[in-house]
Amino acid sequence: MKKKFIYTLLLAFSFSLGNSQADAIEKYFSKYYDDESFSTVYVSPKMFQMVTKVLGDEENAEVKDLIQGIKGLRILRSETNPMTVYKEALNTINTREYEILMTVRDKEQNLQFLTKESGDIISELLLLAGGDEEFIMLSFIGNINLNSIAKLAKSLDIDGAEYLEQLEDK
Amino acid sequence: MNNSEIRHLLNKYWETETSLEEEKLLKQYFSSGNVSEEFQEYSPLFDFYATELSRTSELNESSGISLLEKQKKSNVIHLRKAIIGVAAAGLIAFSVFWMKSEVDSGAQFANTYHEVEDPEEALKITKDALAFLSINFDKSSKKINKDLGNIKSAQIFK
Repeated sequence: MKKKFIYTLLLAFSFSLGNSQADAIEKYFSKYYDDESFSTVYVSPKMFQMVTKVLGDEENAEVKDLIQGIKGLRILRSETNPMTVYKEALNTINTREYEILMTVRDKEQNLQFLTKESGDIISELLLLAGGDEEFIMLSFIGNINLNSIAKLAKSLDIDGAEYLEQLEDK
Repeated sequence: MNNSEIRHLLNKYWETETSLEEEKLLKQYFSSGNVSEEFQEYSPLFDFYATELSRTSELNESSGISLLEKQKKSNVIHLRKAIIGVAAAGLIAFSVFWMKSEVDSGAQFANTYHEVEDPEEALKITKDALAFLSINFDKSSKKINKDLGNIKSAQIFK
């Protein structure tokens, strides 16, 4: 009787855990969703299906390529204690699940790239950026091609600075 | 015990003024079988008390223990049922709360949580995010290459 009861309980829990399989932000940082000092932007897989439909022919080839592979995007940002949040975030992410691709520290900002791989394919790419002014975390879900990202950077090289300025205005 | 004493006790008994001790004396007298003619009419009453008393005590001795055990056992069953009941109620309450919080989570974070619902906006945000990603990716790999270059030249100088 007791055993049966415990099994039922375990079963119920495993179902609820299965349902909450999600990207790193959802998994580790959903506690910030109702925190006033954080803002979260989420683009769902369904929305990405629609995005691929509105992609124009004039779009950058690399952008097109990348967007077609992406299934979900989540952005978390905060301007309150960005360095503390950045360090806390690095400690929170399970490094058995996410592999560190690159870590860069310089005067302006600290960066860490993490990937989650299934087989040889990157299924999630995380970028954490922490500086004096802002903490940003990006989570891309889907098939992410690092070569395309490198190529995109080169094609953006000329107006890259402008892009960054635009981002910081928001 | 002489008749006048019994009479006195009986009178007290009818007035319900006898003590327990005195009642015991009366009962003993009537059960002794040596009852005076004068009090014969009261004998059945005390006989009745005596038989009733022995019956209850009989019950206590023979079936009392097993009755007590039965009661204990049924208590255990009730307790187990109660525990399961409380646990089930708790589980139901928990799951309702869980489901409710799942449903609420969308609307609750309206201020800081934004789910994009316009494809054009989604495209714009994605492009910005990709630009941010690739620029930082490029910057980082260049910096790493530069650092690697420094290490290599340091090794050459050794």
